Amino acid sequence: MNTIAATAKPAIGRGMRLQWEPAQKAHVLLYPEGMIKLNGSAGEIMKRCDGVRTLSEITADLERSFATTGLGDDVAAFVAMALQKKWLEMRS
Amino acid sequence: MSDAHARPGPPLWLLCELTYRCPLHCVFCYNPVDFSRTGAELTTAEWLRVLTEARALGAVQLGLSGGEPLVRDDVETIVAAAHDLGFYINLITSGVGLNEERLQALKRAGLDNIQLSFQDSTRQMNDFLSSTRTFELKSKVAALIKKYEYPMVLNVVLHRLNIDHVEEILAMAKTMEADYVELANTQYYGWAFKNREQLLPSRAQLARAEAVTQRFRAENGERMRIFFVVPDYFERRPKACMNGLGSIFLTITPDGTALPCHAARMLPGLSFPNVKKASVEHIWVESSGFKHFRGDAWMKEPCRSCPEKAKDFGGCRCQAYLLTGDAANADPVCDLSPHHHLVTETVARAERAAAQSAAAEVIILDPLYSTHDQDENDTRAMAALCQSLLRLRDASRAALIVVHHVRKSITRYEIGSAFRGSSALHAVGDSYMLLTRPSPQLSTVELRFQFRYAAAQPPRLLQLDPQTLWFSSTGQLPAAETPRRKVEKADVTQALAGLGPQARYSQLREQIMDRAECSKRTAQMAISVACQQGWIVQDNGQYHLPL
Ligand code: SF4
Ligand code: SF4
Repeated sequence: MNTIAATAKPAIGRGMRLQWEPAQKAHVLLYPEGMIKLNGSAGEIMKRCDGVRTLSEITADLERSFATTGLGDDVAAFVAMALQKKWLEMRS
Repeated sequence: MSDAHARPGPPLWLLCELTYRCPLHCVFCYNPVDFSRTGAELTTAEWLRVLTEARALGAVQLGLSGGEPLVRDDVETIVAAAHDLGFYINLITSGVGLNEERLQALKRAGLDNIQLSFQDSTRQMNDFLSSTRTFELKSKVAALIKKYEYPMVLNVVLHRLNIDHVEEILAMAKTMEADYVELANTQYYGWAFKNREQLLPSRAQLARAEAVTQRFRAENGERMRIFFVVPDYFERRPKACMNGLGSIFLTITPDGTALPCHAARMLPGLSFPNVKKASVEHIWVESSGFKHFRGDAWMKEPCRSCPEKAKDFGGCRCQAYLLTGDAANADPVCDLSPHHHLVTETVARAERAAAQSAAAEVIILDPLYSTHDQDENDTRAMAALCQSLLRLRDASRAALIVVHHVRKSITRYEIGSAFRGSSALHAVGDSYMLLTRPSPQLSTVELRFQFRYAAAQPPRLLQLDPQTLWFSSTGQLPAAETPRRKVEKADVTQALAGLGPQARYSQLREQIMDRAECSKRTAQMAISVACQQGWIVQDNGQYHLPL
């Protein structure tokens, strides 16, 4: 499943917008005529996908922020799913 | 039971109908039939206040629609303010009035998405439907939208007059590089409710359009997402109305009336407040118009005790009101509703009207099962279906050709009675043609005939040319198919003589079948006739020739 290069730079998909919604206490992903409410970890991953940082930098940042290790597989799996749904796209 | 008095969640979706004015005049328009009686449009400042208050409540998706919103020259101002507030902004437009200058200004203001609505991909139909020459303009607008890198949603409202063009519509959408295509069937409110018998497609049209859409998806992949919305008149369960009225959706009409759905103004006994007089928060949280259908305390049977009520919220209140006269009834689209027949009857009337207006001489239902949702094993259902076929024939004055499949096991000489659901079907047809394969080893098929008012033709054998997919007559019939001759006295007596001094019934029958090449039943008849005539004698279960 994990075929994404660690150097790939994920970014929010074209035409989509990620933002924090206080009323829903969640990150939401907005797209034409629709919206997805993200859970906590999805929101934390997505907000780091800025098209500048690589997948491994994002993972390292998450591990630092949450004082943990071994998030690599989970992050990669989420990013793969989000790419497929076009929530994210890759920048080189 | 969910509580109508608990504080509701945010109105996530805010739809601002900026104006009812529109240069087009579509037959399926959602606009209230009596919109000329509504009050003055909100000013720019009033719209900005609505946006601010709704955003504070948690509204996040914003639709700007009309009428044609671009008729107003403050759309750019409204978009800029909405963008600063953090809305995701969708402009819903017919494209009229969207030139390059405005597109640029809207882009700078922060517009996120454009939904371009089309009536059809063929210019002729488009012009006919909206009585304005707009098609070329829309194609140009679509190109501009892509030039400014907006995501683009193409929305095509389908109905009987354009649903046969789905293939061209999808091809057009692909050329225009649309990101999303909504093939939305008309919802029957407003003008469309009054015109519904002219607008409702036939079941066969719908099935064809869905098949075309499926094929297009299969061939073109996911780059362009296609949503096909079936008109709910053809369903057995209603569509869920945006999580129930008053739960996520807030519409503000051009004069400032707040509605839980764009059509809700028709619902009697509810008063809907105006944003000129009340805050959006008060309207959303406190007003009776929004509270009334929140939760499920308002429900009647069968919804009240139905396990599906959390899924569909009893369907559409507006449809319940329009069709049954009581907005608290189950949506009659639901086949548990005692009013469901109102929907099925409308569909049937529309099918007849479609046939009539087409002035067809021949109507082909191919195959029959694509035109109904009845159980073909249910004789009563099939009898009712046959009655509607007869009505269709009478209303249209056309010949009906019904393509249908046969039962699994049919006997050698059956024709009309061989069709699935047969006794009912057999009673209404005037002529039958049956295609069968005489044996799996043969590449020929046999075509049999039966006519109610004329002598049957002999069966024909047809050969399929796999290259051209063309059937040609092979001219000859296999031995078993030679026209059967009568079983004569000699056939019986000689058969019996050939079996020795005496024979059992079954032996004799087989022998006759062999000699006369007849069916078992014919052989049995021949034996009983021969006994009556005294040509042969039956004694203790054994047959012999008279001495
Ligand atoms: S009875 Fe009411 S709640 Fe149940 S499925 Fe039908 S419409 Fe929905
Ligand atoms: S009540 Fe009916 S018309 Fe109104 S939003 Fe719900 S489904 Fe649509």
